[in-house]
This record gives sequence, structure tokens and C-alpha cells, in this order.
Amino acid sequence: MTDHDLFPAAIETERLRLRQLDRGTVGTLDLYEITGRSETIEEETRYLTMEPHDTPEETRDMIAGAEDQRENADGAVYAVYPREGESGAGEIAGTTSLTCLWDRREARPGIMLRKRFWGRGYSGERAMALMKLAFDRLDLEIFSPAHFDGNENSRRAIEKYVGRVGGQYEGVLRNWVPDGDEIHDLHRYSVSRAEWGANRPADLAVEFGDGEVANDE
Amino acid sequence: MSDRDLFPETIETDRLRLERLDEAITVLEQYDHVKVGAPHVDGVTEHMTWSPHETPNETKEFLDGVTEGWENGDRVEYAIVPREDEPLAGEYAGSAGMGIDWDRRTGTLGMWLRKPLWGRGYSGERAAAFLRLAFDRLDLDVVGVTHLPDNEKSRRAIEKYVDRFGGRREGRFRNFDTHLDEGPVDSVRYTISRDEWAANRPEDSAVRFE
Repeated sequence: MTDHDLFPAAIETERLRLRQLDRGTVGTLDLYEITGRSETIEEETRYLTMEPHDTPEETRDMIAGAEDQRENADGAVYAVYPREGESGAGEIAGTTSLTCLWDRREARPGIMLRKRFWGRGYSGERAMALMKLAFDRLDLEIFSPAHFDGNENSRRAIEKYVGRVGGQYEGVLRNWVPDGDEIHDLHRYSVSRAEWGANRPADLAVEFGDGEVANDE
Repeated sequence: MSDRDLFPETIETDRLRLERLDEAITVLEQYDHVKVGAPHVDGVTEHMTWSPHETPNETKEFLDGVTEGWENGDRVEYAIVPREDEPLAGEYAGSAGMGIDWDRRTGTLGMWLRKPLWGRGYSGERAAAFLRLAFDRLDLDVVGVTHLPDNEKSRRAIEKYVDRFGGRREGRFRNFDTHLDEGPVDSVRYTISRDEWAANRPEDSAVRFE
């Protein structure tokens, strides 16, 4: 398997499979089920800059935007699927992204999960996979998750995995994220490559693939 | 007198006069102060995100950027000229600016000063003037300032005025800035909000905009 792309087409962890958003691999209408039609979309996007999609065309644009981003090497967006044995296996549980700020040697992760998949530790599990991608494959120096002020669920999830690998809470950036009429304060954390090297889980089961991984279903 | 443009061409404080930089100084005058080997320039730039200029063309690009920022309404940069009875009175003593991110309604301060003028509290005096500009005139929400982690002099000067105006230290952010020559650097960031300014603004401020 040769892979000339910076970002693997697929990533597997113990319980999750991530597939890069691509018109060939992720159905627009399947993704629209969670970006537009989900009954819990308001709650799921409350602390994100993403607005619920009104039409599947917005979802199509989102996928096209992800393809452009990958081609420019600015980052990648993945659809998140629970693997066999998980409840909801094979469904799209959400999306996750890694944005690269090459001049700062920085990788910024993002995630949006459907409510019914909350509380399973998926965020931390995919964060470990994205850290492996950022440090081991992309040779970046800093992995910097962040959440809006008030987002307690993300705070807990981030504190847990950042603490596990020896990273730190940096502080709150006031007026940092413009979002319609509001400007959110942003709490920022970081993990350095050295911290990752010293604290990475010894039993980390993360596989990068070219996208041809067999489906479990 | 009353100038209805976004930015004042000059600002006067008790001890300083600030003049629109790209009109107050020529490229070659500026280059004499910031070029490699200029007096004290290594001390001035030691803890900054720029290095002494190697050619006047670098200085020209810097000043062109100042003009562009002024015209686009997203940056002001002034020459600092000490007033009568101050050391180096009437001379070019450094520059002070503010970048403006209108989406974030945030102004970000920056300044460098010739070494003979260090330790005189000019940084705080200039900050008070820029806070007035940012909040009273430009209607911004937040004014921020950063320094490199090992810049003790800036840290002391910034802590002093941030504390005086009720602001706060936000934290040390890793790889948050990029040095023009040396790549990513950590940054310590502080902010003062409009409410904090309103509660702590000096009553006897002698700042004048023209």
C-alpha cells in the first residue's frame, strides 16, 4: 500500500473508523442526516460555529470544502463511524477535523458528534488518533484543542485526554471566535510533541489506511 | 481640529507626541534606527518577533505595510516623539501601533522604544491613549497585547498597565505567534475589555487626538 497523501484516507481505532470526507466515499445524503436532519442538531451545534444545514446542498459544499482543504494540505475532515460491536455500528456518528497551521507547526482538532453517541469517550479516542497523525506522521509540534466558554461537555472531554498525555490548559482568549452576532471566548489547551512522546499510551491501537479497508458490515 | 477620520493623525499625551509613522519619517531615516548595527538595535529586538533590517528594502516593505494598514482601516502605527523636557525631546524615539481585527472587535497593541527611554513609564502612557482610541473612538470590545515569554521588561510594563485598567493575563499560548526569521514562538497574552476600561479609566487623562 503506497500512500502519497499527507492525510490518510482512513483511520481505525479500537472502536472507531474515520473516513476522509470525499464525494466518493461519504454519501451527501447520509451526512445530511446528521448535519441537517438530526432532531438534536441544535444541541449538537450549540457550541460550534457550524450552523445546521438547511439543504443537502450545504452538506455537498461542506464535502467539497473538505476536498479542497486536503488538496491544499491545510487539513482533513473525517466522518466518524462506530465499528462492529458498538451500538450504532456503521452509522455516521459525527465528523472530526484536523487543521494544520504549518507556519506555527500547529494542528487544531475539531469534532461534532451526534448526541446519542455522547458520553462514550469517542472524542478522546479519536483525539489520540489525531495526535498520532499530527506528531508521528505530519511532524507538527503542537496539538491545540479548544472549546467555547460554557461548553462543559467538551471541557470535560478535552481535560481528560489532554491530562492523560501530559498537556496543559493555556487560558481563555477573549472575543476570539466571531459567530453571527456573537463573539465567543475560547478556552485553549495544548499538547507538545515532547509531552506526547513521554505519555502516549503504550497500547495505542491506531491504524492509518488508504481507504480500501474492508467494511465490517 | 476635530478630525472625523477613523484614525487621528497625531495623538498627544502628557509626555509624548505620536505622529502617523509613514508621514513622520522617511524610509532611510527609519532604516538608520532599525538596521543591523544601529545603536541598541539588538537590545530593542532581542525579545521581539522581528530582527534588525538587513536592507532598506525591508524597511520600505514595513512602511508600505503601515500605509496599507492605514488605508484599509486595520492598523495604525505612530512615531513616538518625546515632548519638551523629556530626554530626546523632538526626536524619533520608536513606534507604537495597533492592529485591528474588526471581526473580533479587538485591537492588538505593539511598541518598540529606543533604549535611552526605557524605564520611564512611556509604555503605560501610550497604552492609556490607545485604549481611549480603541474604546471611545473605534468602539472595539477588547484590547490585547502579547509578549514573548522571556521578555521580562515588557512583562513588567504590561502587567502594570493591564492591572491598572482592570484587565487580565489570559495565559501562555504555545506556538501562538511566528517570529519573522525564527519560526513559531510562544506568546503570553493579556486583554482589557471595554467594561474594564470604563470602570478604571483615568479621570485626569490628558490625551488629545488631532
